[in-house]
Amino acid sequence: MIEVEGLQKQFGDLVAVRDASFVAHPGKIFGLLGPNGAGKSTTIGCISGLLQPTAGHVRILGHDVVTAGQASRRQLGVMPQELALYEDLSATENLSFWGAAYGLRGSELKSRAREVLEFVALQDRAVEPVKNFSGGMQRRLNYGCAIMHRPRVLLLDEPTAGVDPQSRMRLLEMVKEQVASGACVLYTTHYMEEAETLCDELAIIDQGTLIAQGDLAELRSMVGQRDILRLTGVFHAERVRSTLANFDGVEVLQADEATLRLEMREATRHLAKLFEALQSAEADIRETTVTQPSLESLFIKLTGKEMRE
Amino acid sequence: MRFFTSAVIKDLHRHRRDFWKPVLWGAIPLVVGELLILAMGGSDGVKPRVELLISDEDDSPLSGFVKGAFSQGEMAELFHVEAISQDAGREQLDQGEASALLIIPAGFQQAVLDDTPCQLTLITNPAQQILPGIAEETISVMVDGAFYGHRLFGDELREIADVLATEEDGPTALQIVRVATRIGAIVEQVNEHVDPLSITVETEVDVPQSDPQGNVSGIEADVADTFYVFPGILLMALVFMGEGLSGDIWVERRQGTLKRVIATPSTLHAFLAGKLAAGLIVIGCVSLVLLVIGTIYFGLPGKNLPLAWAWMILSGAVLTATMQVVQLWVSSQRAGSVVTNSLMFPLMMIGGSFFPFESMPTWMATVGSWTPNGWMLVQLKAILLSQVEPVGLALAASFLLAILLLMFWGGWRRTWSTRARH
Ligand SMILES: Nc1ncnc2c1ncn2[C@@H]1O[C@H](COP(=O)(O)OP(=O)(O)OP(=O)(O)O)[C@@H](O)[C@H]1O
Ligand SMILES: [Mg+2]
Repeated sequence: MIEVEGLQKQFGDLVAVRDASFVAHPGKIFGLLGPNGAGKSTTIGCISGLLQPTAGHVRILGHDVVTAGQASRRQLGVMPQELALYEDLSATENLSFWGAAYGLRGSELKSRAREVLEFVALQDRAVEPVKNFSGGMQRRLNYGCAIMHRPRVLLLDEPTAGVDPQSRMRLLEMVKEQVASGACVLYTTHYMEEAETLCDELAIIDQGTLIAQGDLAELRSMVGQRDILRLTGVFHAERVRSTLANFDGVEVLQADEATLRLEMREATRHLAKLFEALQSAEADIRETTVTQPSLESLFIKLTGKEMRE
Repeated sequence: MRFFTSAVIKDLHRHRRDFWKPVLWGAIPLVVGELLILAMGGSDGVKPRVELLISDEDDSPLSGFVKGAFSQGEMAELFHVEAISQDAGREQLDQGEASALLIIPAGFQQAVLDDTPCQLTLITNPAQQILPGIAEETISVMVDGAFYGHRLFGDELREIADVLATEEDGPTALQIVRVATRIGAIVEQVNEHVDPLSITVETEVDVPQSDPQGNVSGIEADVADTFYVFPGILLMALVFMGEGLSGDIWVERRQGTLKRVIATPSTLHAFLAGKLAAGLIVIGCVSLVLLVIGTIYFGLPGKNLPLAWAWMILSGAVLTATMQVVQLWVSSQRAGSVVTNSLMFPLMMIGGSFFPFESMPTWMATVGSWTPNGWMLVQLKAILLSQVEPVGLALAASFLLAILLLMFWGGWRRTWSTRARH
C-alpha cells in the first residue's frame, strides 16, 4: 500500500508537485495519468527516496519514506522512466547486481535471476551485453531488475513508452501477473487507452496538481454522457456564442477566432443542425472532431486542452 | 558489506569487458618512456610506429592541419602518416598493412567552425591492439583540444566562418591578419597550460645540458641510467588510471544506474567504496605488470618491490578519489575530462613524469616534488632505492590514507547532494 499525503515538491520556484494525496491498494493498479512535465516522475522520485519532498508524507506499507527510508525502500521495486542498466554487462549480470542491491544472495539470487530472465523472455540472450539488445528487450530487462526481490509495491514510470506493440503486450501481461500475486502497483502513463484498460484506480495530474481521481466509473461520471465537439476554422466568437445560446443542451467550453469546443449529448446526431446554425453565423469550418466520453474528454473538460499537444 | 562485494564484482566484470583500457593506461606511459630513453640516448629498444592512413574528404585547411599534426616533431616519431582514398585505405587495413584509418568527413572544417556536431571516423586494425589504441587516444586528445579551442577562440572562429560565408572572394588579407593576431595573442598567453598536445612537445628532453647541481636526490652509481625515467613512468600510469577510473562516475550517471542504486535499500557509500575497490584491483594489476617490466627491461632495482607496489596502489587510490571529486564538481562528462586532462598534463610535466627531477633545474624540481604526483614519485624512488626510514614511510602512508578518506567522503557527499541530477 502506498499512502501519499499532502505531497509537495519544489525545484527552486517551480512547484513540480502540489499538495498531492492518494492511496494505492494491494492487488490493484493505481494509474497516474498526465501529459509531459505534469509531475509524474517527480511523484515517483519522492516515493522512491530519490527526491526529498518539500512537504507532506509518503508511507510504504506504513514505513515513512523519509524517516524510515531503508525499510520503505526494501518493499519497493522501481522501474525508472529511463533505462537504468549496465550496458556492458549481460542480462544475468544486471539482474544479479540489482537483486543483490535488494539483499538477495547466493543460490537464491542465482535461481531468482534465472526465473526472472525467463519471465521477461530473455533466456536466449542471457550472456550477451545489454547494449546489443533492442529497445523493447532493454525495457523488459529494466522491468525484470525491478521485480528481482518480489517487491510488494511496484513503481512503474511509463514502462511502455517507446516500446513496440509486442514487447508492450508482454510488459502489460507481466504487470498484471504481478498484481494478481498481490502487489500494489503505481503506474504512470500518458496513454489514455492504457490507463483506461489497465488501471483499477486513476489520478489525473496536470502541472503538478491532481485534478481528478477515482475508479474509472467515477471518472466517467464526472464527464457525464456528453461528447466533446471540437471545431477549427474561422469564427466570429460573439456571433457564434449568441447563435449557440438558442441551442438546447449545448455548452460552450471555448470559443475564439480559430477554435470552438462544445459539450453536448450525442454530438453526431446534431451535427447537421449545428453546422447550419453556424453557417448562418458566418462560421467557416475546416475541421471537426468528436470525442466521446472518456478520460480524454474529462481531461479536456478539466484543463481546456488536449493531453497530447 | 555484502552489497560492497557485489559492487566490486559488478565493476570488475565491467573492467574485464573493457580490458584494453587498463592495458592502454599501462602501455602509453611505457611507450612514452621508451621515447624518452631514446631521446636521452639510453637503451636500444625498438620504437613502435603507428601506421596511420588518413582519408581527407574535406580537403580544407583545417583537415590539412590535422594531417600535419601527426607528422610534426615528436608525433612523427610515433606516427607514419599516409594520405589515401577511403576505399584504398580500407583495403590496406583489411590486408593488415596499417594500424588505423582516420576518415575526415567532407564539411569537417565548416562543422568545427560552426560548432555543430561532426564525427571523425577511426577504423582500427583488429589484428593489432596497442597501436590503434594509441592512435585513438591521441585523436581523442586532439578532439578535446578542438573543443577547448572553441571555448577560447569561439569568437574568432565565428568571424572566420562569417567571412567565408559572406565574401565571395574569400576573406581579405586584412581580415585574416586581424583574426590571426588575436588568436596568436591568446595562444601566447595560454599555450603551455591549455594545449593538451603539448604532451608530445615535452619529449624534447635534453638531459646532457642540464644543470649538474639540479639533482634532487643522490642516485646510487650502480643504478641503470633508465632508472631516472622509469618511476616517473609508473606515476604517469597511475595518473592515467586515476583519470580513466574517475570518469566512470559519469557513466553511472548517464546510464541512470546511480539513481537506481539510491532507490534501493543498499547504501550509496557501499556502492562508491565498491567502485573504488574495483578500481584499486585494476590499479594493482597494471602496477604489478609495470613493476615486473621495469625490473626486467628498465633496470629497476629489485629491492622493496612489494612495498613499492603497495605505495603505488595507495597513490593510485588517492589520485582516483581526488579526480573523482573534481569530476563531480563540474557539470558534464566532457567538462570533467577537459578539467582533469588540463590538470594532469601540467602536473605530470612538472611532477617528474616527462622529464626526471634529476634533469630539471633545482627550483623546478623543488616545486615539482611538492605536486601530489611529484611527492608520490619522490617517495616511490626512495622506496625503490631503500632510502626510506620505516617511520617516515609510515607517516607518509598515513598521510595518503587520510587524504584518501577525505576525498572519498567529499565524493560521497557530492554524489549524494547531486543524486537527482541527470
Ligand atoms: N531535478 C530537477 N530539477 C529541476 N526541475 C525539475 C527536476 N526534475 C523535474 N523538474 C521539473 O518538474 C516538472 C515535472 O517533471 P516530471 O519529470 O515529474 O514530469 P513527468 O510528468 O514525468 O513528464 P514526462 O511525461 O515528460 O516524463 C517539469 O517542469 C520538470 O522540468
Ligand atoms: Mg516522467
